[in-house]
Amino acid sequence: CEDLLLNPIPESVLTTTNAFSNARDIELGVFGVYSRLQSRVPTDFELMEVPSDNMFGEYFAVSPGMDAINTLDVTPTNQKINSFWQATYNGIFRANLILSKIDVPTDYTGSKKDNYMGELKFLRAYQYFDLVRIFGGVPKVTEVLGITDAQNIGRASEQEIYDFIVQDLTEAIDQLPETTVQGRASKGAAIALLAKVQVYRENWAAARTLLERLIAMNKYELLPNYRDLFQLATETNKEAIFSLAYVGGTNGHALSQLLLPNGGVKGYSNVGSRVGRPTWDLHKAFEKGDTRFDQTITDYALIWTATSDADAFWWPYFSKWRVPAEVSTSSGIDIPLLRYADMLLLYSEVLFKLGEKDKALVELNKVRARAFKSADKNYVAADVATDKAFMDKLLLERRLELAVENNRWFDLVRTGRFVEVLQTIEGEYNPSTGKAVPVVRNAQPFMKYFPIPWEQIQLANKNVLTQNEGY
Amino acid sequence: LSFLFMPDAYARPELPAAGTKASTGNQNADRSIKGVVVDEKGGGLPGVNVLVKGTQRGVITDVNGNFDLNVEEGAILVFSFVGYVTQEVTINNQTSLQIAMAPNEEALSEVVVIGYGTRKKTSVTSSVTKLENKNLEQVPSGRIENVLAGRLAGVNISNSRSRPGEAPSIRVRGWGSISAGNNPLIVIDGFPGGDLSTLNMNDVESVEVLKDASSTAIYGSRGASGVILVTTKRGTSGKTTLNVNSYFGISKAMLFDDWLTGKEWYDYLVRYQNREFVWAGGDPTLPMNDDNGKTPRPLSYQVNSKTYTLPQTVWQDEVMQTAPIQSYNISASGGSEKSKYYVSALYLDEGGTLKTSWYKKFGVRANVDMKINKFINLSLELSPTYSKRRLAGSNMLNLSKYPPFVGTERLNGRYPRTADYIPSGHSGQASPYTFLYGTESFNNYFSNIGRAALDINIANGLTFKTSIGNTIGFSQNNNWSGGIGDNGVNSNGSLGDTRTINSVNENILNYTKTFNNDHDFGALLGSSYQRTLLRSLSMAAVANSFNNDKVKTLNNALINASATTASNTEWGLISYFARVNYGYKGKYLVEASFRRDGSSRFGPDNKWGNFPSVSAAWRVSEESFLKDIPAISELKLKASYGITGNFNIGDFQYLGTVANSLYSPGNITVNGIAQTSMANNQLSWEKTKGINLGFELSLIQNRINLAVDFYRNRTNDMLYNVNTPAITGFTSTISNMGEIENKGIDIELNTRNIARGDFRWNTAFNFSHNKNQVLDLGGVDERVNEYWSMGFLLRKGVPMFSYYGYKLIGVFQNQNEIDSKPHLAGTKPGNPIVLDANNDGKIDPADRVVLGSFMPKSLLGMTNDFSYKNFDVSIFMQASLGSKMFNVESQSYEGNTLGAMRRSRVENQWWSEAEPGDGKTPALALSQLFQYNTNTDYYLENASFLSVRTVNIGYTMPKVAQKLKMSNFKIYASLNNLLLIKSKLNASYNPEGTTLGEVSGINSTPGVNMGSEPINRTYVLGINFGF
Repeated sequence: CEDLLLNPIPESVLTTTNAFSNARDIELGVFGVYSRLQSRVPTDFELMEVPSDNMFGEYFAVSPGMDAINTLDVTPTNQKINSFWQATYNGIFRANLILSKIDVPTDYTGSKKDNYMGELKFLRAYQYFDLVRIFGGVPKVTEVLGITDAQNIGRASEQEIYDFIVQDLTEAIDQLPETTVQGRASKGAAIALLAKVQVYRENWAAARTLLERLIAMNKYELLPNYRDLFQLATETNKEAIFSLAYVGGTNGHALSQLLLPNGGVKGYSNVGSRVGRPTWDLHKAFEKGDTRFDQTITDYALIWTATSDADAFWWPYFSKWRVPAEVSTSSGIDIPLLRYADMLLLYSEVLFKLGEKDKALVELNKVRARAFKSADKNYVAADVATDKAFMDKLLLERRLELAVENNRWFDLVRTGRFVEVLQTIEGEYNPSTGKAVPVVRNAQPFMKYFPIPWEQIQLANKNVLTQNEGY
Repeated sequence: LSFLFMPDAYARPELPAAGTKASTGNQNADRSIKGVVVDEKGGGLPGVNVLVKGTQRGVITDVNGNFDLNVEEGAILVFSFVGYVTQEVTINNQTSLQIAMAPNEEALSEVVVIGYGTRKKTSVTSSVTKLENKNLEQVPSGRIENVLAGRLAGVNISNSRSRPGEAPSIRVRGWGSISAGNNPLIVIDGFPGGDLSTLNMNDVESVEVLKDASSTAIYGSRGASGVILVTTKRGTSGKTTLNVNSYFGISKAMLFDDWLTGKEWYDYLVRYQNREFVWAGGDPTLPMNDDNGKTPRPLSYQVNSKTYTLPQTVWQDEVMQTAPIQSYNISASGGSEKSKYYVSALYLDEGGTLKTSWYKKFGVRANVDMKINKFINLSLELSPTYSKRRLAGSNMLNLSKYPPFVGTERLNGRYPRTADYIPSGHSGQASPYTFLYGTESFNNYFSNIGRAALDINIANGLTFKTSIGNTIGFSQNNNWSGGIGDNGVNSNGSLGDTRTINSVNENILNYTKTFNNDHDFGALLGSSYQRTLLRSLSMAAVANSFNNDKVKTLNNALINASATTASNTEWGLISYFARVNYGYKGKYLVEASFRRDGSSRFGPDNKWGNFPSVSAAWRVSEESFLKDIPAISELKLKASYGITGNFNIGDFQYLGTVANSLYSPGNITVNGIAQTSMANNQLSWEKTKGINLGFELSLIQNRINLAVDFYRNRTNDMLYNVNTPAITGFTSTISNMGEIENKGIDIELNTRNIARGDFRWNTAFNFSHNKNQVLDLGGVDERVNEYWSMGFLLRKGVPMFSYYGYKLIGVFQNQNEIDSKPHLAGTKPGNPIVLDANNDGKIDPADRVVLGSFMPKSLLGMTNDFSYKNFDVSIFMQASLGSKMFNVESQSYEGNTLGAMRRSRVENQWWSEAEPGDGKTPALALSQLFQYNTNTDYYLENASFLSVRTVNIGYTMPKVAQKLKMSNFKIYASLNNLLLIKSKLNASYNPEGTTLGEVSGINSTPGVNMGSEPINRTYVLGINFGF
């Protein structure tokens, strides 16, 4: 009787003691790590695009903390940075936990065990890369931690974190399979991510080797139509090196509607949350004939209930992620985190830095020619006569190609341009007056890192977690 | 209340002056009779009421107890005095009388129900509040808690949502727990873990609240938040009686009447947009004109003139209605020496003042007691109840904040939205009517308590009782929502079923004996076994997959596999307990109890807990030095100490649980898995150590009864979802740490102010004051949780979840002023000036200060019962003082969202330096909301109130009853919420209204109001008769 009443066996609860006992459990655990990243990424634009010159915040009510990011008045108590920290370390924990259980099962077939380890290291590295780019050096957590241990772990240096990322990715490259389904990491994904990391570290030669290895795999290519990258029917494609996979309705994301006008978009979405808007800065950077513009920005809003096209009104919004959705808040469009165009532009940058400007220009123009569907707009040597001119063109191309894909802020920071660029930018544009409403950002050099969340500093022991300079 | 103590107030007769002859105008009064009335000690008793039966004639005795009255032969004189047994004397040929009045022992023999037993009120050593049901069934309400609210000292019953059938929150002596809940244990007729929603007020005999740790410790791991004992009516042998009680009436919501419409609304909108445009660096002289297809300023800053030329609607008034309420109850009781019964049936139907909402309840009860033989008694209780409830499709805020230019009539088969009139800039929300009529949300609840108990009288004073009880509860939620023609709204459907089966076996050996007349001894030994099984099932439709909106059940849609789950869980509790009590000469009383509980909810290392208590009382009034003071009828001093627990954390929390986590590799959705909580083998109960010191004082033959209790409860080893460094992978984990203190005072004062002839006036007054503070947070000094940028603070030395933010001290008028004073980053003219609390010349989070608490400091309740002849009137008032609400609902009526506006919320604010408003109200705008306004005390509103909750007027008609062969016949009227007085600065519909729940974990945000429904004024007429 006592056992019946006091020690019942939980009928519907899986626990850490019995959850990870066979190979299938480990695979499900790996999906749990993807799942964590998958739920964070749709709001990454709040930290990675809003502070850049691509986006300005429009509607703060649904998103406390974003008002401050919009004007670069980020304080340590900002809720956005704390939730980003929490979500990312939760993902790292999940990867660490499964890695700690990886030796438990004995029923792996083929190279599955290696593959899972590769995926876990890739995912851990991806999330550390996000952390180190946002905060600089952060606590380095490589195993499952108890609370007391966690309270004593301070920040590793930026270099240590990058070293760890490189180590994880190097191992992942060996462990991951050549091919896999959309949404899971493959060898190419790890190579691409490591290449990107090396570019951020300005290890040009290492980056070149990796990028050339990636290209030599002959697995990836640019899609002929830029638009197809963001369509449900063609979301699985040869340009996508690593994408997060979503299924509308049951496992979708809200990114599509977060950027749409209030009132939704006819034929696509019956709601819109108008959280981030395209700046006039970005808008006017697109040249005529650039097919990327139509996919990236729509100038006239035609809301869900509009009865005819004549009801459209001037209200530019990001339409890159806009797809027809049964449930607007649960969009199925996969989000590419690493794609081939990004790699070609990185390759161009690497070649340029290694002094091979002509070859660099060829890679740059590959992306440009796809965008304009012709080589007519390709840059010629005269366009990039000086080093500055080359970097200007290259960063502009990255900006246009990868807008709302969470690269712009980091590109500005890593090239040291953010202070100059992010002073006052042009936000909402009024076509009748020809004037744009300014958004004052007033960036300072210390803002290259966001502040360490105040709550996390409090939760650690005294003087364990140090704050970034300037906050 | 000083008037209560003035002897004149009750000594003043409406009858002729003491000792003088009564009215001589009466022709039948044929002879004089003199007499003296004495008390039990032989002393003359002044103020005794002497009445000629069947007439209005009479006198009262003088200071020496003498009276003189003219009566006719054969008349009957009635002698009555409060605290004494009424006597009747027939006048034959006496000329003088000596009447000895006997004290009324009823007051002394009053019994109070305690845990696993009863006590004479005079022998109670702990702190117990008792409320008898006298006409409380005549107060119209779907839930009995609402009837009890305010009538019990130290018990805070509040309604955060005014919706039909809503469960109010009950707090006994404050808040002692952060994560494990603060709900008291409900014990119905001895069955622990009951549900007040299943009760019918007509069936309730009395309600006792065990408040101090010594009285609740016998409930061990469940006693920490107080225990409410409900005793239902039982049959008595003798005549069978039938009683019918029914009322019917209407409810009307108490609403706002300062809504802006038309040009006035438009003009404010223009000011909002201009100010916003100036802040954005725009030129406000650019025309607002939206004609000719030209766009003179960015669309976001325009205002469409259609907004005032269109017909106007005040949405608040459209979504509300006058709602009917009715209740029918019939009960019968009776029996013989061998068997007794009480049976009843109820039907209650409460309409909601928010359209489409309602609550219906059907209940039956049977309490049967059988005497098998001289030694064995068997009792059976059954109380099946069924209730059904429909909630409106949204809260009050979303229904009433809609802009006034949108009409209520359907156009093209659907309710129009703002976008049908104006393409952008206004709410994208669908029409309130789409939510109201496009949502069908039902809850069905069936429950039953069934119990059989066997009572065996083993020997003189020794009894054994064993009982087996079972509650079953089936709860079903069915939800459907759709756009009813508006395809901008997703259609959705879900259902949730839960089944709870709760079984209890209790065995109690009880012994009471008085030795040598002086030594009262009692002992109790018991064991209890409880097991609760819970099964839950929920399913949902794939959004927008309903084929049509004719069939609203899930068979008309595709099932969303990832939102469909079923799970089973359970908990068990084993308890052993003992109690001894001893009294010497009824003067010195001591009592001690001990309980040992084992619970499945705790970690393998900490399954068992011990809960001891002791208490003592000294009836000073029984001492010889006080016995001779006639004014003091009772004086008792008491003290107690006890340890109680709280185990309400859900099942299997000590395990590190692994839950589903979706991913879609290859675009096929799979249930991945991930660990979602940390394991803790040491997890155990919260322990509350409570001290109670009190006294009871009765004066002037029990006409004035005062009970005062001082208490201090300290809860340590809190079940606390302590925040953890996120690098562990978790933001919080449950553990035992931290300490909370509640200390305060409860006062109950019952007075019989007037009892003269036909007129009676009694008052029951209660006051309670509680001070809560955090003593320890387990290693950290404070935690701040934010909601809408308002901080909710846990800090040593301040009440839990105090509001924490910047103190608003003014409004910046211009840039010069901003430059000259410390300010928040990015401050513009119109933003608040906030206090630089640490005087360091800058405003940063370190300048945040404690701004108040959601907890009331003091609660007051007062019932005044009057009766005159066949009339009776009962007036019940309630007050709550010192709490604040974070009424962010207000911002929705400020036009921030370009929606509805209330005059009192939009005027007075800062528009420009030339139009600075009242200097205390900052510029109110959505773009400023989080960064400048909600992080100050601007939206913290005083939530104190005084309410005339109930006025009950009854008229008994004995003649009608006689004619109809009834035993009684009464009609009554009851008015609920006749009057509500609140602070002028409170802009809510309901000063108790909150929408985000109360204290339920580390991230609680109690006190936030975002759309709590208005309070209703209810008027009913009732009828009560019996045979």
